[in-house]
Amino acid sequence: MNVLLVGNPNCGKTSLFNLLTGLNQKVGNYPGITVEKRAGSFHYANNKIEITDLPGIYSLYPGSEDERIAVQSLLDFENEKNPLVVCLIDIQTPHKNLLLLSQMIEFGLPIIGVLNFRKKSTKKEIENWSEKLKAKYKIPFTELNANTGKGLDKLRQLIVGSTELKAPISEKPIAEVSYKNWIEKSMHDPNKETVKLITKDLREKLEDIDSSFVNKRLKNQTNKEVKAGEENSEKEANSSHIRSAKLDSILMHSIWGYVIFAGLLMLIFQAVFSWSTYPMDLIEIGFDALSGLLGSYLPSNFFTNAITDGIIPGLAGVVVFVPQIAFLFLFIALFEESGYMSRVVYLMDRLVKPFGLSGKSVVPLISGYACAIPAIMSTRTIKHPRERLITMLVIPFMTCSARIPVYTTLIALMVSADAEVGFFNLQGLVLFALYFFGAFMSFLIALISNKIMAGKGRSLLLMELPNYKVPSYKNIGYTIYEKSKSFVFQAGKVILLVSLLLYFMANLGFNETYQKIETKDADMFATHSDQEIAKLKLENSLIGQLGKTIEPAIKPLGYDWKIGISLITSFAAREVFVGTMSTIYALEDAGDDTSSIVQQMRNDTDENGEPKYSLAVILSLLVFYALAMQCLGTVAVMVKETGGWKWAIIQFVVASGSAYVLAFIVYQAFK
Amino acid sequence: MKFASEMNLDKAPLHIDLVIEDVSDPILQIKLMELGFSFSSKFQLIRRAPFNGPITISNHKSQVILRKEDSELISVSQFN
Repeated sequence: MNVLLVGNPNCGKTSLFNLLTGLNQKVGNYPGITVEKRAGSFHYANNKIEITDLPGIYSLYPGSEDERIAVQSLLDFENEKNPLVVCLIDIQTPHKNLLLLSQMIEFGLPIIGVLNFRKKSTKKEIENWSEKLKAKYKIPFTELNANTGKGLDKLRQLIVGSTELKAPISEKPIAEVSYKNWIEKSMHDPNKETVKLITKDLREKLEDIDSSFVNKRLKNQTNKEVKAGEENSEKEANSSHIRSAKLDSILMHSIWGYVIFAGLLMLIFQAVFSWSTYPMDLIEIGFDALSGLLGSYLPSNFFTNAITDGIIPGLAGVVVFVPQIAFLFLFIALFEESGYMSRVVYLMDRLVKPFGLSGKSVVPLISGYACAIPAIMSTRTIKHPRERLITMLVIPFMTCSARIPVYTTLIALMVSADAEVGFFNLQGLVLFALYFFGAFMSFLIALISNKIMAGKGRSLLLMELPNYKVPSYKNIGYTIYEKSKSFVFQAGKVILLVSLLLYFMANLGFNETYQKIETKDADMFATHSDQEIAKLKLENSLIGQLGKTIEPAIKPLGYDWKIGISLITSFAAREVFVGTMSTIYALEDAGDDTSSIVQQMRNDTDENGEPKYSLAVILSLLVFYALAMQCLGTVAVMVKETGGWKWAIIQFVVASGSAYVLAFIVYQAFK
Repeated sequence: MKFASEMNLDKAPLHIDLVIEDVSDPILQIKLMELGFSFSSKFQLIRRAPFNGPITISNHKSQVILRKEDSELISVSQFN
């Protein structure tokens, strides 16, 4: 059996999906959290039920990409075996949900209505709405609380028992043309002509819904208890609305709104840099202890060395940044859960519009601070194609969490940990400047793209501001866990492979010097210290030779062959830079140096005894990593979202080209 | 403050009960209706963002933001 879960944005669909399937998809208090359909399944009474959660929609008119996905899924759904639609109605805003419900009924698929009630909803209120809906729509209805799961079993029974359910018969078609016909046409109507076909009918339909469920209900109802229940519902909706309005008078204020938003951004950067140092130190100590423990207990051979000098330093270089990523996602989740993210759209729309962006671009751009991949996917809520494309093109310039390991390592090389400016940690301020640089480049590229792509077509920003709510700690905790886990596992897989590959390539070599070291040439060992031998071995290994091959191309940027190796490996994922450097330095020092990667890089000198990581080199590297397109996942998602390679290639060339040119300019200016 | 005749939403005074008379863009009309702002329902203009930024409209249950240039396409009158 196949079930399609539909409903308005932010009505509790994803919570219900999670309850039914036991999965943990992201939920939030921001329209557009679900931008793609998600599939899951559950077993009940010896039946396997496949369930799909669609993006939230207000009606069946496909105005944006997420709405197109939802409507297309409905069109495709007809061909499924035993199709069933479960339409969720939020008891807090039932009048708004009924348009979609009535359209779904007219669409002609078997359907079950579910009234999603809240903790504060009274029994009378629930019963009243349920009876009204059953009487009006003549379809099976049930009630549940999608947050607590109360009533879930009844819904499961209803789903399993609905195999013989027939499609409801529509009493009054919405448009003069067949409704399904209209939906199919509107999916392929670039001029939006089909909209005009139904506007009048839709208006009548809405007024009918309005009068039958709001006005008539209040005017004609004589039962005092029912009336009291309804009034409570209105009061509750009003009180939460009034609370939100009071908060909005500050958070959306013409001056204070922006001051608070800027303050919150500063708070995020300070949290990412300062608060996370304590757990980061603990993680570093833990990995050092693990490496030492394995080194002393395991037999000394090639494989033990591969683990202690290859895999562990590589993984430690990534895991250590989990606290910073967790703090970043904590704030993003708090913004989404509380309802503040929508206010950011209001505050920022006018400011970003001259750049060809929309207020709705701000949320994907801020999400880009976490990860470009979901951020690019979340642009589906932007209705205007040009605004959406520009947003997708510039998201990778925002400072994603994968850059944090690179930035923090490089910043620590040039700024002392206890340096302060006023109340602020100087390292935190430099990080803030890098975030600002990324945002500046995003807007610059957006401005240029907007000039190049300037064309006709009006964009529409029409967005609901959800009432503020206390964030669910469970959801926030889960988001942090899920994002940190995916960072470690996605990056970890690549890093594990790269670390092993690096280790093997560093222990293989075919030139004369390498062979002399391998055969323990007496002259060589008599004239060189152990550390010099280790350095020579790495330099003449396969990996050293590879780095040396690309050195002429990167020397103008101030980079040596070791950085060259890291640049190559980090084109798959930029965070691999630190893991690669950790592995290279661990190999070069033959495991003798147990200091941190930052200390080892700081101690590294060139042939003249000068520090290799001069200010010019560090700044050049920071600029390169701020701009270069070093994420295969982002390239893949761009191909998917733009429907081809063209824009992904343009994005790659522009980002990596500008990274090379600007890194060159910075190095030449500061050397 | 009271006003006698129809005017565009962007020019309407704040915190006065309004009702939609006409929407000259059909897509905007649909989207407004989807969000609960139909022709018969009253609402208020409650906030304007600085620098001609978006405006916020509200009925008793929800708040919606829309751009000033879109609000120019909505004709409103005072709710009686």
